Amino acid sequence: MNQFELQGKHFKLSTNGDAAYIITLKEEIGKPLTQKLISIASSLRSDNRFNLLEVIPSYQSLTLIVNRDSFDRIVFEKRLVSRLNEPFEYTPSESRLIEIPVCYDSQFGLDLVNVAKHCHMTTDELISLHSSQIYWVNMLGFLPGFLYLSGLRKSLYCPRKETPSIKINAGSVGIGGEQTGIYPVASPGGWNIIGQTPLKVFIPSSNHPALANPLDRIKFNPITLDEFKQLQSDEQGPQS
Amino acid sequence: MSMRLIYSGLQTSVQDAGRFGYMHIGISRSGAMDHRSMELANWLLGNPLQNPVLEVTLIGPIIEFEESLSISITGARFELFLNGQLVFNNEVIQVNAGDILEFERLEEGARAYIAFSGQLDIEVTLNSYSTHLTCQFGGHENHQLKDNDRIKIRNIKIVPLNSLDNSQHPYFSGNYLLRCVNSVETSKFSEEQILQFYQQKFYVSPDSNRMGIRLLGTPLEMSSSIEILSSGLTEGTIQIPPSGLPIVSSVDGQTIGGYPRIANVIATDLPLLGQLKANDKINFTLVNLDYSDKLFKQAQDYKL
Repeated sequence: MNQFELQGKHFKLSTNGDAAYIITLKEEIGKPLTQKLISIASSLRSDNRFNLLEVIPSYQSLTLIVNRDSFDRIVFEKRLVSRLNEPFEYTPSESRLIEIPVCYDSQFGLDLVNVAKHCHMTTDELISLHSSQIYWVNMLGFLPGFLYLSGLRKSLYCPRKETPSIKINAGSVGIGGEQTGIYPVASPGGWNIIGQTPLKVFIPSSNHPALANPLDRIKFNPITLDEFKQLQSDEQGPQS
Repeated sequence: MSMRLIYSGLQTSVQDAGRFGYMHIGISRSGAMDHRSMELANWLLGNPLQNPVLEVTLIGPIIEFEESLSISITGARFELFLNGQLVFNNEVIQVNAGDILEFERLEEGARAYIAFSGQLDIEVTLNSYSTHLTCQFGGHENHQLKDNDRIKIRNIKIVPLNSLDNSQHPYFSGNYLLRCVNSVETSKFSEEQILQFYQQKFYVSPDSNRMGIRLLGTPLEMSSSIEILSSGLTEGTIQIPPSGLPIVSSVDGQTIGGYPRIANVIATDLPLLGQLKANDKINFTLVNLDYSDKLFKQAQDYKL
């Protein structure tokens, strides 16, 4: 791995294999840092000199994947170091509040009782604590459209299951360790499932396949089983 | 004009160069796992190199063609029959209406690629024809091909015979050396762990797939865990999970990873990941970036 000297002390740039780089910002994880990462990501993405295939923001870093078909390492690195030494404009990006209906009925919340037990509370208390909080999106990844959410209350932390479930339905809402989130597609997984949203969280046929962007805020609204069924048929209506 | 899959095989899917520019929303590239073989298949027919092809995995399909066209097959070597007559990899095969192509015994490698002298009638999803197999979208009706699936082929032309020089035939021995460069967390591993990684022969686990190649062998001693923050995960990254057994990320891999990275397979060797199958033997060797860049340039110059 090669590392590069940068003037700004809070940046670290290094190679990540022979076709990628990683820029790490040595700052505390949080909204201001994510804001910076998103600004730098969009600036680098639109800069034709770099011809990047991918810019992947995460908690504290950006991973840049270069286009190896037209790549001169020396020129690329010189340009990138010089760009990172210049200032970036940190424009505040839009932070939408996205409300997601969730049915916490035991039909979907297969692990609801166990999580409540682990957290020493009733299932009603759990639902109320989980749905009264406003979370924010740190990053997307892991699965298509999966939102890494920040803001789960400490009292709801619950370790992942020792034996992962073979299939978790798309739309399932779960708690895994210190995180909460929605499974955008059916997948195996180790999170404790406490409910399900009738919304389609990942829509590959759309130009915006994911529900939210980094920094968007997410609130879960409890709905009844009847409301779930109604919303689900609304969602599927136009497609069938 | 269309072709019909009388038998679809183990995992036959439509793939192209892949889907770029969506990793930040969690969508991995997909595409041909051995993209070099995909390009060769298209080159033989005079197609654009990135044309969609069929990727065939371990057990091949039986395909009936309803009209004359030219095809080519590259990558893994199967015993191939066209109406019972042997046909071969790495050359143009002329197919007549009603002909049946059968994939029989797998001789070497894991994935073969079939290219066609026409355009597969497949919808584009997020700028690619590729099938995202783990999430079921893209490609032919969002999934791997099933028995009796029919794919239309448009703008067919018959192309002249053509073949690869013997020297260009890939050879998949089942015993491979994958070249690596140091990765982001290499320095967090102990000398002991690094030696364990580079000095042993690993075996490809049957749990391997297009998401990643899982390796079996003597686990790296992971007495003290290496804690890292999750970040972008690229193709060819070798992660060491708490089990101590390496996982090499591939085309359908997660876009964010949280295990420490000991090394990255160099870009030149990535197509080989598509030819690995259970029990193949793997050694890793460390090269520097200058050398890996040189190798990549050579491979590009060699491009047809």
